[in-house]
Amino acid sequence: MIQKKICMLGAFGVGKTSLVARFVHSRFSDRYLSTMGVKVDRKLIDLGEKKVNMMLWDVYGEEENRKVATNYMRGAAGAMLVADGTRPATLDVVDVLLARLRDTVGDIPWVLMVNKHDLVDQWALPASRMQQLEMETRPMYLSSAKTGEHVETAFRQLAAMMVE
Amino acid sequence: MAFPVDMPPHLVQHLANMHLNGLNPAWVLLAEDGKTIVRIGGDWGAYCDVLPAVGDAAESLNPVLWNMFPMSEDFRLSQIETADNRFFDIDVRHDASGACWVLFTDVSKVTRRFQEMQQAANTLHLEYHRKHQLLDRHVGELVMSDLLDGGGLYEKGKRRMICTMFMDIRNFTVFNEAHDAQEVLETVNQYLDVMLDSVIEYDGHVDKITGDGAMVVFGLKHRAHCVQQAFDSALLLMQRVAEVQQQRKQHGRAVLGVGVGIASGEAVTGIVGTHVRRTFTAFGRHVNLAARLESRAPAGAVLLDAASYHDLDDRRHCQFSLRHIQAKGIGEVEAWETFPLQA
Repeated sequence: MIQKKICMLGAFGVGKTSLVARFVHSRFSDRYLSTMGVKVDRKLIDLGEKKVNMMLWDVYGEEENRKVATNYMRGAAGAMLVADGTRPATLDVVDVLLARLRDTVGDIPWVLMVNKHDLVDQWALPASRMQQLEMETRPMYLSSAKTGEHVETAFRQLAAMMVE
Repeated sequence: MAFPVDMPPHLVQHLANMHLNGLNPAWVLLAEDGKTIVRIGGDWGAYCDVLPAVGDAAESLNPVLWNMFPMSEDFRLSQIETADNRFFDIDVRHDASGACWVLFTDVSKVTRRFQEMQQAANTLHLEYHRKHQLLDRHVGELVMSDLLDGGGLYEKGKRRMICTMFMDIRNFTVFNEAHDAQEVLETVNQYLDVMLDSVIEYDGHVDKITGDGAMVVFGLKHRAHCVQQAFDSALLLMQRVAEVQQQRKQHGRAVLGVGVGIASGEAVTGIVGTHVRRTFTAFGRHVNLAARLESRAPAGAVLLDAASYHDLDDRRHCQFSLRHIQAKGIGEVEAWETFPLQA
């Protein structure tokens, strides 16, 4: 069995903790709870020939006055970058965090999740921006921690990329 | 609490302070390999179910330390949350001889207090964003910013040069008659999605949505080149509508076209309505003219009034033809027609 550390990175309130809760415990809560430092969870993924024990580091969200410290990224083998489709500015935060991650641990596998896809009425990414993202960013998933849309797929994709 | 005699004084002081503040400090010293525990002290009951022992690997102290050792530099991981909502810090410190000390401190109390403040601030921010988004959708970003900045869009109105665009889905009534209301709604939204995105990209203010079309005002943000912005957005709109048409054709769904009318001139912009319902809008002769031109524009056509046509900096290689149109309530007007995708 292979063990890998994965960092969940993104702006605050994009749903990182909810995505982990959905993926690991198959549950969702509408209640927003700020993550303070880091919370570590695990999930075993069976990729057929290989099994990957994913150690998920749910790191606090980036804020203007509280940047994500690179210490949390140390030793990461992969990263799940998360943005909120109802707040387009959170995609800019993803770019900033990706650059910091690369400076810290080099070019490791990562997947982008644009979360809260269930909030159709509040969705704020125009079709043109989504097309652009799909062309520039691979792999990218529109996800929902609430409905479970693409949650399992995205984590499995990351696991597969890490053991390639 | 006892400290080893070879522990560096600054670590002793740090741990003593932690102890006095009730933070249950605990520590280990690692062997020269930087991985194995050789000495243990402090209150480990707060951090581990199974107490660490000499000879254990340092990473066995907590899962977050997996794959971290040996560590050559000083290092801190703050506010590690446990399953039962406690928080602790891990500090890795090297003394003058290079020996590596790993310290654990329980920061639950202070972190929970901080969490409450953080929670309140973040919730406020998210709520502000939600309200901002709601306001933006109802009055538009430009008007909202102007209102919040105490700008000139108040009841008395503001006289300014603007460019107004009307856009509308062609043959909508026929489509509406022949299809289920749910499909009609989805179709209109599919078209409006690309139509409105196109004008917003060029700083157009969506004044109102008229069911299967919209009125858009250019020049509220930047007065210069507002006609060019309107025209360029119309070209983008036609291109994106063509993409929608292509998709719908592939799926065997009804294909609809869009007509656009553009006119420019002086207008008064301001807030109309009563204290219970107010809205921003623009009044002026050219606003009516833009609406008339749009009603006469065939699918795929952009119709400009003479003022807008002559004001264009760049016609983007479009072929124009001159038409004379009887505009209801206005009389005969000169209009310039182009089919951007037929160039």
